[in-house]
Amino acid sequence: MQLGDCLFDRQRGLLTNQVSGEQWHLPRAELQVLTLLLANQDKIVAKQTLGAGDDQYAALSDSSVTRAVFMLRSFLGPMHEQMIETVKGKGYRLHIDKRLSQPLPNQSIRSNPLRANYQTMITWLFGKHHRVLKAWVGVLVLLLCILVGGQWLVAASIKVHHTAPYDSHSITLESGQQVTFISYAKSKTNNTSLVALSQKLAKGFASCESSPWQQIYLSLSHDKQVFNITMRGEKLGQSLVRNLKLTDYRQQKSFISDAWLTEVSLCE
Amino acid sequence: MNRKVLWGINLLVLMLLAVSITVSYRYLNPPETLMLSCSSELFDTSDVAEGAGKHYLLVDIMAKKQQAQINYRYFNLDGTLAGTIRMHGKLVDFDKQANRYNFSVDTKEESDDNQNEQLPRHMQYLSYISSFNLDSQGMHNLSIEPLDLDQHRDYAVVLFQPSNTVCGCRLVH
Repeated sequence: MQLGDCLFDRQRGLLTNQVSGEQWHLPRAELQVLTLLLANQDKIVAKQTLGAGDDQYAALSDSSVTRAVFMLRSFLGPMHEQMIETVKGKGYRLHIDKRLSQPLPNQSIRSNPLRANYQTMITWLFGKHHRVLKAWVGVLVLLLCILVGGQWLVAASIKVHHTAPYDSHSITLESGQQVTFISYAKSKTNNTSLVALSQKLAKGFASCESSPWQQIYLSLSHDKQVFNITMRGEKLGQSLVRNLKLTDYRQQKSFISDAWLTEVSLCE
Repeated sequence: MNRKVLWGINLLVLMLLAVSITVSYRYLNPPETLMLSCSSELFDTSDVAEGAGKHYLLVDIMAKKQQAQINYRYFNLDGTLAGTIRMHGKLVDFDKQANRYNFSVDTKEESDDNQNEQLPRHMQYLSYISSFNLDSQGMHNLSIEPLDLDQHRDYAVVLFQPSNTVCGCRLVH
């Protein structure tokens, strides 16, 4: 007798799960309850009837019947446990859905262990019913996972290439503070004036005991007409940025003078 | 377990995946928006007279979706407006590998508010460079590359190209 995924051998009192291969020799209570429910399919059977005793066995208590039903449902599995329906205040009813209780093709499975394993795996993955729908849901979930993973992989593989500074050097002030000068040039040729300006500015900073500025970014415009200074630092826990742009159109350029260094107060 | 509960869990997992895709996409592909405000002190070093050749410059850069606007406002030391240059164009793209915003400016408006005085040299310089490109190519291409970016402190040191200009700016949200 087919009960969902299980085959019930009434003679031997044996319930076999055809999917997992698990076998269960039914104890007296479970055997009696299942036999009576099968004999009264689609009918409500009272607890007292299910637990009735005979010449050989004493009657089962209500709790024993309840426990037997619980054990039977557990063995039938989540897909088929609803076959034994509880009718409140009246008893239990066994309803075998023929569509859900199709026997597995045991013959062909037994003859091919590989196919049996495959069937077991497919059944474990998708159950016995609506497999195509479930497979599509699985494919969709898999695609979504691949999409998310792909996005992160692409993001992780992007290596950002910042423009490398042309020159970088540091000086140490009297207080022990380090000031770094980072110069950016458009080309690697003819940067003598940029280097000279960087050194001149460093000299200006060197006279400070301390300064709120830690990084000095420098650049000379592509036509060398504008000298840009950006100072980054901290003062009393406050983040500071200061930009100075010097323009000199003369042929003999002198962006930085001692008077200018004093005027802009680099140490403050 | 009840079949309906199982299907409910399946749908929940699907929904969570869909949400995670949206979240991760937005996280990994943030909208290309850039808003910077940069203030600079300008010195025309050939002017030696007291206070001469000194100006302030405020640059506002706004790029949202495709639209881009760069406003240069020049001020005299007394706070009066010395001149403005307004550039309009589009944000061509954001080069992730180079970490660079590429702009294409197609229109420019200039105003000279220093009727009696000479324009700031920096403004003359910028006006010349942008006009040169706009007149010869019909557009003025420029890029901005954040060299040092701190979202927590809302500042960025950026490098403008092709002018090769470093500038420290505040991030505007």
